[in-house]
Amino acid sequence: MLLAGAAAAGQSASPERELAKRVASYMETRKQACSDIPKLKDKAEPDEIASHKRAMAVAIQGARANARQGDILTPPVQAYLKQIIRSEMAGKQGKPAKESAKQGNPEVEGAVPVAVKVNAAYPDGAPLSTVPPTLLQRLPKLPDGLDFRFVGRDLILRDANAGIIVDFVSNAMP
Amino acid sequence: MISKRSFLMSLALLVWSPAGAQAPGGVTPPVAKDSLRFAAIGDWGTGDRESYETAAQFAKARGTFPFDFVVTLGDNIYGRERPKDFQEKFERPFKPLLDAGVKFYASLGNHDETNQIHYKLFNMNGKRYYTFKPRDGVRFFALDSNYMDPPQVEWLEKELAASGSDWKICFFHHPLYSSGERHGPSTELRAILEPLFVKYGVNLVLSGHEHFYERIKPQRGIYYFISGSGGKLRRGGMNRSEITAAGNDQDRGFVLFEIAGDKMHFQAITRTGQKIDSGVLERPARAKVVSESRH
Repeated sequence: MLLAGAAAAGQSASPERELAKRVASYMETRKQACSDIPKLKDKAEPDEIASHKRAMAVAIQGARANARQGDILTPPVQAYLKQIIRSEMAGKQGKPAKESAKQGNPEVEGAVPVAVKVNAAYPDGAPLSTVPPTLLQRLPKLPDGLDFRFVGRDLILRDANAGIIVDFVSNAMP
Repeated sequence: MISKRSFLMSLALLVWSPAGAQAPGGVTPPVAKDSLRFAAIGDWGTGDRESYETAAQFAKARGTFPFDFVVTLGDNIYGRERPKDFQEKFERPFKPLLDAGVKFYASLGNHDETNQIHYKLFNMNGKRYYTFKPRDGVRFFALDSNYMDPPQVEWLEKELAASGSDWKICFFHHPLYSSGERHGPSTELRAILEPLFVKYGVNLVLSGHEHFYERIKPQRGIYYFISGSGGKLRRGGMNRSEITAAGNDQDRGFVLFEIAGDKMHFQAITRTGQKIDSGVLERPARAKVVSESRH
């Protein structure tokens, strides 16, 4: 799937390998930072869920206090992701994908503003954009706990369990 | 887009069968003693007055139609998701059902925070997508239509292929077919999911996202329902189209289902307790409507 995605984007696999390496490094940092936090049960109470999320966010933000945009989604990776997204959403054929990414997009829904910054919390109450399934077939696969989402035209890499923005690509959508 | 077969089925649907008609009015009791009964509700977790009224009607309906569990079609908790929001938007309005032991099986919508998968009363057991089998012959598949990534698609195909259940029921937030003015059908999602549904004989698909009720004419042999007005309502938001079998965008509501052998009975109920649509669908004939009654 990953190689097919790279081939479809007309790129060598190196940005994808670079991303996989940096994502793995993030997951290791996350694991270390959160090692003292008890695992969340599969059947938890709301206050346990909220505490766990908050504890994870604080731990990861502390461990990555100096993180900047591009640390994980490096410029070549950004270019690679942009190329996939733009080819998927280009022209008339790409309209359904583009429309799909607007659904739940906080800037379209307008309910709660989302500040796109590394280490920023994804606000409680802000909706989550749909990521077009056809696009997800082409984007690099992420480990459990991380996902790609759109905020306006930006693509964010989100830690879904900690509720924080890990990195982002500005103006990724055409 | 519409095959000859679908067109013929649609024509059949237009023929109202008085033999199976039920009187307009409120909830009707189950038809069979040992049938499987469940309910579906979507876009419901607002915590506002209307959602409480819908929940109260939901509990009242169970007095006549004792369903065992509820599947949720996403947007379970709107807005903030502090612990008190779980109480105000779910536990309090649905307390009578929870106290009676009714289980809720949730799927995630675009307004749902991912960590809801850990919430014990949503029975997701830490999974964005999962399956359960309430009894022999019937299997449910809860999907995360917000993020239909390759692992989920692979999982779904594997589970569908392995399932020998007569009834395969998928539920998730975004509708593959819809006459909604605001969102419309999720054609991107349809391109991925529909081939699997057809290949592995999914019978019934339940979705929300559109804030109204719509029953879709069978598409490629599959029944589709939208029940996205559990709390939110987009009045006038449905443009009846050639795929609409029945619909209502004038009040909030939910849908009750009963599976008895090869037949599935359904009734769509509003916040005020009015039955707005009901009928019987048959499994083996692949989308053959035995009877229906649009109230």
